[in-house]
Parts: sequence; C-alpha cells; structure tokens
Amino acid sequence: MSKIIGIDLGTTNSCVAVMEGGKPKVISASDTGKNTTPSVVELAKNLVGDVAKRQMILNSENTISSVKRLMGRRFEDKEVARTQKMVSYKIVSGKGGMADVEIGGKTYTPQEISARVLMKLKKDAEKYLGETVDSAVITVPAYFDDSQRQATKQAGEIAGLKVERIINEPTAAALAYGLDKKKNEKIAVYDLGGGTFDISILELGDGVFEVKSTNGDTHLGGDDFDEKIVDYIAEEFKKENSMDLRLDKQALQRVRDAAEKAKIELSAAEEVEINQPYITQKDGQPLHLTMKLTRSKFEGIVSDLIAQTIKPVEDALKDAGLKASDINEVIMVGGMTRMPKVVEEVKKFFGKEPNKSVNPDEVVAIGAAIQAGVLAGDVKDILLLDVTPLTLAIETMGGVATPMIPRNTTVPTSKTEVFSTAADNQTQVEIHITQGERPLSNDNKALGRFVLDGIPPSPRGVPQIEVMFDLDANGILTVTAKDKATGKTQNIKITGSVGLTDEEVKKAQEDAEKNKAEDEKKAEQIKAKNMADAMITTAEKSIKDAGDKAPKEVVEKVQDKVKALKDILETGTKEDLEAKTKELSDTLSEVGQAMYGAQGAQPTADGSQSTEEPATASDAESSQGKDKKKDDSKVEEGEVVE
Amino acid sequence: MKKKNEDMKNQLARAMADYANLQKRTDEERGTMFKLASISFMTKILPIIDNLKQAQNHVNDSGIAIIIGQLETLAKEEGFEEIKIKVGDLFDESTAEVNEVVETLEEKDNNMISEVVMSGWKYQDGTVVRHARVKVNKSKVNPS
Repeated sequence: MSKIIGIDLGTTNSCVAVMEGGKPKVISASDTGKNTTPSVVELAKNLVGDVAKRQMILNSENTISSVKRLMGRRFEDKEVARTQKMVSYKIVSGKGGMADVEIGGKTYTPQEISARVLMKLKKDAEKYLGETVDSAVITVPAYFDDSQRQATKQAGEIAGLKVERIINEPTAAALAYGLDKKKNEKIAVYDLGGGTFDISILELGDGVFEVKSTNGDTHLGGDDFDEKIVDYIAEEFKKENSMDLRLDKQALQRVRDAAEKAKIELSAAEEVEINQPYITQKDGQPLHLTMKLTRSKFEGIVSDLIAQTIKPVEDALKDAGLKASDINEVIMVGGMTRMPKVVEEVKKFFGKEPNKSVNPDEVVAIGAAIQAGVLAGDVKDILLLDVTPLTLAIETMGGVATPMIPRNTTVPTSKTEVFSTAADNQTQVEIHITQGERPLSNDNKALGRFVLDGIPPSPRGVPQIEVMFDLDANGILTVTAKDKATGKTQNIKITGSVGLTDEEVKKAQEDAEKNKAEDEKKAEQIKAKNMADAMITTAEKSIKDAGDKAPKEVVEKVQDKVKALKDILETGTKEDLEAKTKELSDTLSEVGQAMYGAQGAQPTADGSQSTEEPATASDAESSQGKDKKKDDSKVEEGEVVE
Repeated sequence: MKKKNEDMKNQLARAMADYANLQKRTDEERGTMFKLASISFMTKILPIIDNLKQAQNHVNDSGIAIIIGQLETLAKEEGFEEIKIKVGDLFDESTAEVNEVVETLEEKDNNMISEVVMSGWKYQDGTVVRHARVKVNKSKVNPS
C-alpha cells in the first residue's frame, strides 16, 4: 500500500507532509525548495505555485488565487461578492447556482482549480518519496459546511487522490501537538494566516475532538500587517523627502521586500535597520531609504490589527459557553503567530502560555500527516521508538568509563568493541557496566559486573576481548564478552536497572554538568597516566627485543628515562607525565632505528595503539588469581548467564 | 495472534524501507547541501551588488567599477551567473517576475519586456537563485 499524504489546502499557501519512520516530515516544493506553495493557479500554461504568482500582475484575469473562498459556496453568497472585489478573475454563477470561475470564456469549478494545487503537491510528494501517491488526508476550516467539505473532497478526487478523510484544521493542529493523548481537555486554536483569521474552540473526550465553536475574520492576515509597515515606511520617507514611494512601482516593490524582511527580523531582534540605497531620485539627485524600526514601534503600528483578533476569540468562547480560564491548551497556527506581541496578547487573554513549538506554517499539514499515518497504520504505540536517556559504558584502565552506547541513541541498538588486557599474563578481565554521563566509572551507577577468565597468558595488549552491548526495545541490556583466541564467552542480562525514572535521569545529567570541569581534569590525568604506563611497557619490551642490537649507551638512556617516568607515575601531574612520556618516546625511537627490521610485529609495539584501546581490567585484577574469590562473588551479583 | 504477527511484519518492512530510502536521500542531500549553502549566501550578497551598481550609475567611479568586477568574478567562481534577459525578450515566468505592466498599443509588443528593473541570477545547474524583476508590455487590444 502506498503512503497517505497529509495536505493543508490553504487560502494563501498550501503545505504537504508525510509520515516517515514514524515521524511527520514536511515535503518541500520541488521547484523552489520551500515548504509551502502559494495556492495560485494559471490555467492556460498550467502554472501552479510560485511560478504562477510571478506572472500574476501581467495575467491577473487568468490567474486564480484565494479560490478556497469560493469552495462549495453559492454565487449569491456574501463571501463570494466580497471575494470578487479583491480578485481580478471573473466569478460567475455555475451549475446549480454555485460560484464558478470564468477564464477565457470557459467556466471552471473551484474544485477544478484547487485540484491543480493538489496535483502539484501530489507530484512533489511523489518526487520526494520516489513512489506513487494515491491517497490523502485534506484539512478544511472547522466552519466549512457539508457542501464545502464535499467540494474539497471532489477537488482531491479530480487530482487523482482518494481522500481518506477530511479533517478540521484546528484538529490537525491539536494532533501535531499530540494533544489527542490527553484526556478531556478544552483547546483553543488561534490561527492567524496570510489572509484569514480563525479561532476554534475544541473539546477533547475519549480521543475525539469536538468543535464547540468557531469564529474569525475572513479578511485579516499577515498581508494586512505587511501593508501597515509599507505605509509607515512610505509616510516617514514622504515626511523627509516629500516623495511618495508608493507611486513608483519599482520603489514600492523594494519597500515591500524591506517591510517583510523587517517584520520577520523583528520577531527575534528588538530593532532593525531598513537600508535601501538609491531607492528613487529627486531633481537628478539619488535618495536613499535608511531608517530604524524598533519592535515597540512596529507593535504600535499593527496594534489595532492584533486587537481585531480578540473580539472573535471572546465570541467563540461565549458560543462555546466557556470562560478564558476554562481553556486547558492554546495552540498557535499561521505565520503571523511568530510575532511576539501576538503571542503576548493571546497569553494575556487566556492566562496561559500558548503552544508554539511546532512551525506554525506547517503545523496543520503535520497534523494531517499524523492522521494519515494513523489510517495507514504507520502510527502505532507499539512501534514508538525510545531513546536511551543515559550513556551505557564499560570500565577501562584507570577507572575510566568508556562509552559503548551514548545517551540519546535510539533503541533497539547494539555495539561491539574489542578491548585488551592491562598487564602481562593477565588471565581474566572484569567487565564492569555503568550508566551515567560522568567520565569515571565510580561516579556513575553500576549496573553489573562479571568476569571473563581463562584467557591464555600473553603480553598486555595482545588478547582480544570482544565486548558487545545489546539494548533491546524494552530496555533490557545484554552484555557479552568473548575471548577471540579461545572463543570463551560470558554474558550478563540486566533488566530493570536500565530504566530510570525521569528524576533519576535528570539528576544524573545535572551531576554530569555540575562536575564537568573537574571530571574532565581527572579523566585527562588518568589518560596521561595510562599513556605513560603504556610507554613504559613498550620501552621495556623494545629493549628486551632489541637485545645486543641496540647500542649500550642508548639502552642506558632509555632505562634512565623509564625510571624517571616510573618515579612520577602515581604522583606526577598531567603535564609532567606528558613531558616525561614524550622524552621517553623520543629516546626510544633511537632504539627503534637500531633494531629496525629485526623487530617482530607485536600489537603493543606502538604505545599509542594500546592506549587508544584501553585494557578492560583495572590494576587490581591484573595479577593472576589475585582476589579471585572477590571476583567470583561479583559474577554472582551480576546475574551472569552462561 | 497471527494477524498481530503479520501487522508487525508489515510495520517492520515499512520501517526498514523507510530507513533504506532515508539513507539514499541523505546521500543525495549531502550533495545538495553545499549548493544550498552557497545559494543562501549569494542571495544575501546580491542586493549589495545591486546597490553598488546603482551607486555606480550616479558617480561613475573607476574604483567602484573594480569592486563590482571583483564581486562578479567571485560570484562566477562560486558557480553563479546573471540570467541574460534584455529589453524586447518575451516574458518568461520561469526566470522573471513581473514588477509592472506597461500598456502598449502595438500588439506585436505584447508580453515583451520593456525594462529589466533588477537582474536575475542562476546557479551553474540552472537553479534560479533570484528571479529578474521586469516591466512587461501589455497590448490594450489583446487582454491575454
């Protein structure tokens, strides 16, 4: 079965999204890369979206915009008359007295026009997904009556889409915020788009959204805000230069661009500079548009527009028989709700912080995609993937917690790494599993330990112990250690300990943050010590291997350096250890030169290699048989499963 | 139980297919990442080139001419070029945007560009980075 897409078929702009890997994804237009497509259609050349918009002024009578305002409406409808005043194309009475569009002597139903937009969105989705798309969920305003919904469904069918469901835009927005998971909530959806304002009051009961009331202003939106700024800029310029930029279409377009940019920037900045040099000329002299616009000034300019939205909100609440304080959740939809002042006013009215984390231009399409996903069976709780909240690590030389599965890794997952021994002839390693963000094992939560023994005696760094961490979808961690030489395997299954409460996770993360600087210092000290230790082993081995081949004075020099490094191994600072390690390494290369070609390929010959792959056993367990009893008891504690 | 098993199998297959497709697309997207970053930067530089050209129209300074030349060379090196549109060309919405309609009595001039208000730019693969802004003739007798 092919994917079902979710479509927000808007008055000004439309948007399409799809569920992918259990998450909604907005599909960008293949021609522009933008996530929304203008709902503009030119029929003669079949242009849809931005390309149709670019030629709109030239071909205004053949270019159709805002056709959603006509969907399923009768020609005598007041809204149709109002729409005719704002568009250049001709609206006529069609079959059954419905409003149709006349282009070049031919009539088209609004469904046919909308179908062109839907076809483009379908095509974009197919291009993105690489497969045919034949079904969709389409959103409509909550106030759409049956005839308007039917018309929208027909538009989908004309576009070659099986309309699986028509859902309300506010319901889609609530779905995008996951509010369907809550119980018995009252939700207000404040939708201030490009050309329309809608407020809907929803009531959620048993996972079903019921529209209690709707209200709004079908001719109020972001475009009005832009016009206000353009007027302000033009007036200010006129005051200074006695010239009206609105009369020069070229200059006006530049002012419009600047106004839109300023509006967007003022959502984040307190003040913007508007700079348009050489905007026009006066008496042969160039004039420049340079002005500053503060956020508070901008808010003053558009305050009446924001205030206009409050009355419909009050009416909608009244119709629903509710008070502002009865509302549990407020959702912001539409690009204009990015403006901080709009959020502030809505917050003041309802007395609570509105939900605005999902992109307001995309939230409706995302909700439609989620609904589509539910219908297609993509969204089921059983397959919701979880992440591991804290890092799962293994203790390596010097007590360092070496991460195996970092935090935020999506589960189920598994990770395998090869470790080695820390001392010569070490026949067992202890696998100590910890959970937490601190760099040292002791500071993290111990999840379990077990011992892998029977490793054939060999020089440090030679044995290869393969350690595998496997974390399943239920949070059960299985750690397996295998000696690659003998094939001997031990494992442990840890249940329960991996799952922590939110508080425990938060505490662990805070601890890590608090101790970050000190922990890093400690970890670096241990690393320096491990490097030094590895270098001592390498040096001693090299001298032994070189035998008579190395000049006596070089050997003595190396021995001196080894002694100097050994003396400070436990007490030296990180800097001293690094300096002395480097000295030893430099001296050692002289031995290397002397015995070049005679040395056997030993894995530990390179000091840096052995430190990069830290040995698992801590020093305490390095001597054979020592603390054997203690280790055995640890094995039992860790519930080792053979 | 059998149905549940089949559901799970189906979901797993979907998830795996989603993942495989995502991987393919991620590879493709990595390739276009560089292009998008360049385009995003270029669109911010273009108004500055426009302004310098405007300034040059007024002061006709040899120094400014050199700076404009340097910026245009830089744009070219990064894979951008100006879209060649001139007065008399037929309007094409794929590369230009109408800024103003100029009425004409000559039908043969219908849909012809009468002035290029702002130059358009494209990337080397043909992607339009900025559409040109043009004034277009419209014959009074022919409404199309």
